Amino acid sequence: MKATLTVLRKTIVQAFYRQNAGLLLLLLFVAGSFMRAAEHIALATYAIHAPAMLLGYIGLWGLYTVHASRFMVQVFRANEFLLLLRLQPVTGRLGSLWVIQVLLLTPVIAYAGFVLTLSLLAHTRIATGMIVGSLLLLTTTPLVWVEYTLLHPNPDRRLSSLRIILLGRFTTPYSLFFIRHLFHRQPVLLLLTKGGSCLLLVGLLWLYPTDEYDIRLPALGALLTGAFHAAIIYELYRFELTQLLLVRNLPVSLSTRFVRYAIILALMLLPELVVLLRNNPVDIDLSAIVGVWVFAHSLLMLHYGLLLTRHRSLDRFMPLVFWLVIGGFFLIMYKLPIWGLAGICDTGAAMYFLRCYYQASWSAL
Amino acid sequence: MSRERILPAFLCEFLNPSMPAILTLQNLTKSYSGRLVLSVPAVDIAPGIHWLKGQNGFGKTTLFKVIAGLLPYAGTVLLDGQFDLRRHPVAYRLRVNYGEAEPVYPEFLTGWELIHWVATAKQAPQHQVDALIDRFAVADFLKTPVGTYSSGMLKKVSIIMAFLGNPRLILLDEPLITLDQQATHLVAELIQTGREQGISFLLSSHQDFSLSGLPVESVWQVAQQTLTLVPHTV
Repeated sequence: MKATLTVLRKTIVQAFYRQNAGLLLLLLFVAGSFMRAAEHIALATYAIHAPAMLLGYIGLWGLYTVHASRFMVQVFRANEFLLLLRLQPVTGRLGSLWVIQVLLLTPVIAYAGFVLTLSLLAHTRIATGMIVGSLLLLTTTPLVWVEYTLLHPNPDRRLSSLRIILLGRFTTPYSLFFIRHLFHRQPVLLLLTKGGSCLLLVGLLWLYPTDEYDIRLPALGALLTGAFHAAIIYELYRFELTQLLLVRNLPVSLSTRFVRYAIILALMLLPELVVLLRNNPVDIDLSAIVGVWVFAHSLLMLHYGLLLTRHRSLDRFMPLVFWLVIGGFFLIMYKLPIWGLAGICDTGAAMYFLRCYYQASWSAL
Repeated sequence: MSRERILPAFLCEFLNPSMPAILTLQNLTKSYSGRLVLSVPAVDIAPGIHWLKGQNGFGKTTLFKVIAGLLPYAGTVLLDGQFDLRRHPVAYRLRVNYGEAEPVYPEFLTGWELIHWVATAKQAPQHQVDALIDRFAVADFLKTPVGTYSSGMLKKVSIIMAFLGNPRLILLDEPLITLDQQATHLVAELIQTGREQGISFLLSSHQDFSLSGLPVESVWQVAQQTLTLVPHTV
């Protein structure tokens, strides 16, 4: 059983956390930056006294569980040697899978444990029962799916007729490769990043008319939008160096490559552009609000340029993003013009890109 | 107009034996995280078909990836005595193609999308693309995502892409593995035809290329972190 657990831990648990490091760091960033400890406690205390709110919590934990279980099933489908697990006795096999499921759900279990502690202290029996029951369900029911996958390997995956027509008629341009990759492999990261970033900008733009703010408020929004996208930029870096290395053999000049990355990131930031234009306060002129978007775009370019300078893991890249946010905050507060800030970031990005593009390579850390 | 423009390359080589090496490596070093993997002081590889041998993990694929411009390196990589990988990145890459040993592509893309993308970048004419797809008989699968392909199908896509455009040098890393017998013969045929058109080949394989009937001009060994010429009887 120990050997089985080691193999499953390395192929499923470690791979899951490696692939979702960006998503988890984004969640930590969002939770840590907007709410203090007292607010977290207040929210959880409210939840244990309001079953509807607690059900919302459980729903979110369920979404995470679906995401993690789907990953486990995909690993079993992609690695046929793992099907040897079928040869083990049912109890031992289910025991191993349960341990793996618990390890995958560690963030949920940790947070649920925090809410459960508050519930026990407050003697709220219904909430305690709901939390314990949901944890039992979340750690056991996905095993049915995994067990089914183990017993029914290599399902006949047919493409839908609509997909066949689309694949036959259209060819994906290079600029959309990465966006398709995100939809295909990192939909949760994409959804959370875009959702968080757009909600933040909408909130700031609605806040703008309520007091005597100036362009610095949306500029700060752009700065945080850039930080929100750090995990996605890292995914772009990883995607190109691990799955699309061939792009480096293509006869394309560095300047054209730079423009292509600018296009990819501009497409990535299209929802933010729409949000900015639709919610633009009346006293901010169009060039200023477009400047805010260009500033956000230039930050993404700068993040990518920085990644090319030296291979780092995501957790070593995030402190760089943090220092950029701090530096950007002061530059914005000192009223540097928004187009000037964008120009500085784009110049830095171009400098790093031209110097380091061919020097960048992926290495297992 | 130069002689090379009006005569096929193999005739140029025949008429002018002092032609520059197709590939020159000088003071080439490649390290991973400070660990030296390759160190090639000076090597000239003449035009022709060359077989690169070496045990697993000795750096054959790394050398191919360096020559293809996929990995950073120190030193000089020169094609045809004039195109430096660092100083002429576009011209060099237009003339050097690479077929991977174990191709990895985004699984959601179709084979057609990948071939179309590479063909456009390598300036390959449509009739060349169609002819290669036709010869490998992969048209029926090309419009499905590569995630559904067998390893042999992936290899065929990789080899098709390696022959696109108008290369001077094609690097084929383990071109015969995972291919069926028919495809293996086809690859040997394409290499032979390519050679007649003046394309040079660097092939790595654990199988003996002399058995395939290909006119292998030299055999190189990657061992002890360097590249050396092995005595070879054609």
